[in-house]
Amino acid sequence: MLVYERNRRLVIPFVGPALILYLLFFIYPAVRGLWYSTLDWSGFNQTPEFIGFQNFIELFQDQWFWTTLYRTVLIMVLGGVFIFGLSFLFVILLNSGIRGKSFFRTVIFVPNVIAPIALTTLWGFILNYRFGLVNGFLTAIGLEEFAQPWMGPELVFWSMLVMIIWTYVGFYLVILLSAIAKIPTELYEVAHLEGANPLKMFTMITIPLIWDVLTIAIIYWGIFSLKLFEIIFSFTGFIPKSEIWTTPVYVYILGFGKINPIYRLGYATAISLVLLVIVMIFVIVSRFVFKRERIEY
Amino acid sequence: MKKLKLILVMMVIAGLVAVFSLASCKAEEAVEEEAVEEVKEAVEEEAVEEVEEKLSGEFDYLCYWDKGHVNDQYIRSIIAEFEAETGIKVNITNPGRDVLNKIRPAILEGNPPDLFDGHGIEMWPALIKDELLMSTEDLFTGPTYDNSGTMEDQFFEGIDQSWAVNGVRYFVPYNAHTSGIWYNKALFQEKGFDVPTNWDDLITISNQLIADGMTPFTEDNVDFYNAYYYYWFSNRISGPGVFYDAAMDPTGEGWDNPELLEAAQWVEKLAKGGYFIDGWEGYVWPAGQIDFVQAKAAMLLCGSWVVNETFDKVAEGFEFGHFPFPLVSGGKGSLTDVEFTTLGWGIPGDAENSELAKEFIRFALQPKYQVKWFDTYYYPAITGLGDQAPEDIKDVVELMESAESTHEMYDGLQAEAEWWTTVFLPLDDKLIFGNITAEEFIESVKAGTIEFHSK
Repeated sequence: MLVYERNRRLVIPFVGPALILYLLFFIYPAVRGLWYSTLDWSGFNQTPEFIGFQNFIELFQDQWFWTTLYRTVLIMVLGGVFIFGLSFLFVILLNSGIRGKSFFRTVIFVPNVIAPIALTTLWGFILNYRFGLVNGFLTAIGLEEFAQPWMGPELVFWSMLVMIIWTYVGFYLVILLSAIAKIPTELYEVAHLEGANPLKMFTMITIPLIWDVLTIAIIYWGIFSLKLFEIIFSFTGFIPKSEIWTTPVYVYILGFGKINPIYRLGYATAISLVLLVIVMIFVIVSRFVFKRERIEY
Repeated sequence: MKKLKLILVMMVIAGLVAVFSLASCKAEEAVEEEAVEEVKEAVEEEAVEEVEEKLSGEFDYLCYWDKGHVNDQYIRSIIAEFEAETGIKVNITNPGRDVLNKIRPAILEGNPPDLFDGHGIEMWPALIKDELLMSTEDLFTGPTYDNSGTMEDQFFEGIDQSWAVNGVRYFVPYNAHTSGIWYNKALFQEKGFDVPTNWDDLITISNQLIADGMTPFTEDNVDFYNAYYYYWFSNRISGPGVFYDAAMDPTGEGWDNPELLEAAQWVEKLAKGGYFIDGWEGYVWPAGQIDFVQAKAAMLLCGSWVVNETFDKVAEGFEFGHFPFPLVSGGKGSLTDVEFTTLGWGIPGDAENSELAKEFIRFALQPKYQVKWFDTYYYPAITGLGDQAPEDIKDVVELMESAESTHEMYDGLQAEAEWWTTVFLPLDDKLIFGNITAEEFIESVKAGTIEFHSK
């Protein structure tokens, strides 16, 4: 028997169970979701009304769909820029030979292991208008006039974005640190001898050699941010303020809700499907845009 | 790339095949279900007769309150006495405020609980409106547990009818709430303020407080708490129901009513007049309530549950007081038209042990148990217990007992959840934070209402 054929036969019993679970808990619900999206249904009634593509027609005219989608994309783009920017900055600092590199790496990563509810509670205290850390600090250094209601309608979205960046920068820092650690130092030494400045080394050596990892990290962030939910839902307490509604939060409010439940499960499912398509388009486009010649070293 | 395209196309085709297969299955299922329903009804009638002879067994109860919450402890204490007296076992579990999301799959599977509880406002769109609950008419028109009277005669005026559909009652209230202005009684007494019954007097009091370096109002910055102001002003100016009618008018012409503009102008006046505590627009619940009981502001417009949520956090010298939302000069509102909102029980239409559940409801609605709601600073749904209310909430109970007519909180609009959440609340927040004028508010809510109803 050829080695290739023998390996393939070994793969099936190992991959099979995972594939079955994936089909059961992802593919089947997604396909069933297609059916639900064609219904006018609260989710309680056992005889929902089939309305074809009416939900999809409605959502494209729904102002809240576009507003929440805009905010979702804003979190993805702005959040991504700052997360990766800060991650690279921390990489440079941590690789500059400072003492306590492991300690700092751990501290920056810690928000990723804390439950989102705990993080939002913490930030609620940090941003509290009356006794919060931010306004307290500003007052202490004589900048009381800059103390703001950070959770108020005008600033709450940006405050939340800061919290999101603060939370997830550690995760991508760890990924980039690992990728950069694999680059042979001789390349940097040679470049230095050739007279390359740090920026040139970064753009001509670091980025190309971690390109595969960077691509995956960016795509992962894109997918993650497009469906980010719990940290946003809990940021303003037990009811998310309308100023921070993103598409996943809007889907929840429509389909499930809390205190003011709407129970439009069919319509919510339609929006979820559109979001799924957006995620798929993002992945496909990203893979195309980020495609590079493979570099081995 | 080609391979990926092929996989995607195949997934889409598979999905479409699945969708259309499911569609035809569902059509067949609907016909079958009708036949089954008829048989079920006949069997049920027979079962009720049998059960009435002797009640025994057990039933499942999904409770709205988190395990350990004072209200959960209250319900469990009643359950313990019910089990001891009747021998009927109650299997209580606590999904908490997500109870309806837990019930949904259970109902779809055909395995619903026998009893659950929650807000009527939340139950309405989910289950009551489509009559998916069991009728409780027999319970209301039947005798009380001790046979001293009829069940329906016990309740505060009209609250048993809150969520009726075509005259049929599906929801049994066990708890009543209202809303109004909580105030620091000790502060008012110190300042020599009389409890105001109209807004002119309340503005005078508020201005005096500001002059003395104090803050008249604080709020929690919860959107539907913020909405109390507009709703109550519309009630006091145009009377109950006008707000609801305007919201549900697909032409939007209801918003041309000058009284609704006047209500918005009152809210704008408060918003821009410095009557609210500084920075409250950035508050997260329960910051406003804590401010209030810590005497950082004199008043709080909120529901009657405030004492339940803050009684253990009050500052020294603070005293709870409550008065109804004042009248507006020239308005059509009345102080004896009392708002009620209710928590209570529902029985799913397919519940297997509905008679046991109803027996528990009869048991739990006895005055000796209803009066125990006062221990948690909540309020019974039945009348005649006001003299046993604790001092902190006596004002609220007196208001409830004084009702000559009643209306639902927010004119019932909170149950029209999609309009409420997507059209009204965001605009109301802008109004109460002073970010838009009253005229802009009316214009926007009118446009939003027209667009909402045109879908």
